[in-house]
Amino acid sequence: MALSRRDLFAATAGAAVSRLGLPVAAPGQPLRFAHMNDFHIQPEARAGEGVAKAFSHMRERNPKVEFVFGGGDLVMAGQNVEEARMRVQMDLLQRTLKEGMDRPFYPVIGNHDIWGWNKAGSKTTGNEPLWGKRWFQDAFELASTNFAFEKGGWKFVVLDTVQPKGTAYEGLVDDAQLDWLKGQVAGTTPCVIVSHIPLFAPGNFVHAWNEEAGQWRMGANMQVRNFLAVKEVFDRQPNVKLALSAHTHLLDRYDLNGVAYLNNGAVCGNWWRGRYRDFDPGYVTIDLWPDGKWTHEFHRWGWTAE
Amino acid sequence: MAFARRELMAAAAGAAIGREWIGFGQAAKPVRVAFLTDFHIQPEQRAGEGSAAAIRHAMALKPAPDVIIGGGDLIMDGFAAEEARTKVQFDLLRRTLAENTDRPFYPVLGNHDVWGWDEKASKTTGKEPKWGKRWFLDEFQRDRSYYAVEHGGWRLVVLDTVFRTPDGYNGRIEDEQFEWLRGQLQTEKPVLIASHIPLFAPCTMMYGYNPQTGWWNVGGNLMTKNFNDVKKLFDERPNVKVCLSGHIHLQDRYDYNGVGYLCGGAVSGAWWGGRFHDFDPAYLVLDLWPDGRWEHRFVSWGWRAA
Repeated sequence: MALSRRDLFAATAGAAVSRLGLPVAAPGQPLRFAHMNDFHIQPEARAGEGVAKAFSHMRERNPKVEFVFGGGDLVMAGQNVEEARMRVQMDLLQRTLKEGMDRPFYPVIGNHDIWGWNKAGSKTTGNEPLWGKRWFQDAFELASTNFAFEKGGWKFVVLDTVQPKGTAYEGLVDDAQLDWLKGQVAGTTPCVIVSHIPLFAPGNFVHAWNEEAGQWRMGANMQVRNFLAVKEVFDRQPNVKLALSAHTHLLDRYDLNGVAYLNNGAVCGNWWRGRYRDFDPGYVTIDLWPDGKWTHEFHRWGWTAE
Repeated sequence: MAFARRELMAAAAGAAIGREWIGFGQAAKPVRVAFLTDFHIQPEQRAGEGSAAAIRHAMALKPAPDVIIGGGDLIMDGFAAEEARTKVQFDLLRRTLAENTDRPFYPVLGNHDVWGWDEKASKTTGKEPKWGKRWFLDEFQRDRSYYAVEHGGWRLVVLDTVFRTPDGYNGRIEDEQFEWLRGQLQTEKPVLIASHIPLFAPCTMMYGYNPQTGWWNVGGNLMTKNFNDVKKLFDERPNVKVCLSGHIHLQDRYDYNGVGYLCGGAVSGAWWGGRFHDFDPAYLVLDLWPDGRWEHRFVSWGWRAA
């Protein structure tokens, strides 16, 4: 075969979705947005240049991308780094966004965007004004790391699925957000849910057989441990159409009970070292029609690691 | 909401099936495959009547299926049943199939279709002529539990993922079958694969979070332990399009690297006790186009448990 599976997949990704008969029959123009995840920006490995190039690729899409979700892990690492290193990364992120992101940009917090949760590694006390999620919130002027807005007849609900556990983190939609989520998805407006750590993403299970344990096994840092509670909310709301996530650097789609869970790859691929498992560095665009239909497409933005 | 999600889904599924074809245009005629899995037929609980009704429901689709794949666990249980009880179940299965469909019926072997692997409970020695997988094979006049057929320009590959272990069974494709599978994929035809124990089905993970260990766990009896090796075969063969499975009694779809993995629910629902978790007793119907495109629907066939 001259074509590898991934090439074929890219070629048919758009067509595959239109199989469902969506774009042809739907009236009007769709709303297009981009879901760009896991920049892992840092001065090393040409990461700043790479993110700028990915933004440029996004700007050249036609139809036009109207707005962008930055799906978390926008900086390389924050939980275990000292203040000066955190500042270098956040400054580079802000500069790169200022120069190349000319669309509305909605930041989703990722585990690596949090400063100092590992106090020993970061040499923090927890009393620093920018400690924890505050640095990210201040950088993007976010009153809260979960928020919602409406556009094009759709509602977008951003969750913060990164919660502390020991000196690290786990995936969790905490009780306060779960209540808030119920309120946000009430009604009939079609909804897109966005989180960094997936609500449910089987990609890491593909290679998770553990012979010694005699089990397939995946940690609670890979998807939210209370997925069933979130699913119960969705089960009552057929207007919830899509749940987008990042974190795994993998690309897959899971359909359960009328909701599509899309895990949308990583801008940085293998943390700026090229392809990660089956997937090149890339991002996803999604087209939404007002009647609740949607299509999506994966874009390789053309990175070659050194 | 007046409608629960499941009701909405059921309504949508019925409407879609009512159309002449599920998805694409009229360019080329697809072959229609009905995947009916987990009959768990037995004299009790009206399981014979129910299985007959499910098959007739599928045969009444417009267009009717060209072929039926029986996804395994066709009888309630032979694994731990004595000879007389196993015979009653196989006799009922044979009669039910003969009376309700004239289409080619391709049987997939399920763990419950094996006779006597629990030697103590089944009062077998392992020396009986029909012991193990032989009874099932004789019943369907097949010399092997894995095989391939061709319909409508597609190759349909039936696998046997039921592997005996000291404490029961696991999902596994042993070496000889693995090499045979590799050979079957060397075709330009699009390929559909059916197995009882899923090659991969994320719904197995849904209820698998263990708060004590902090792991998402799935046992080796629920998916194919050497799936990652199977996936590597698929990575080289873009003509592999879709994998069907039974065993879990849940319905989902997972898309990874160009392959769709469908877990097909169960004709028997909760083993003839009604709905199992979110899903009514149901079967799966697929339309396969000669150019490799495919579409599917889950169809609830209207069973009400006594």
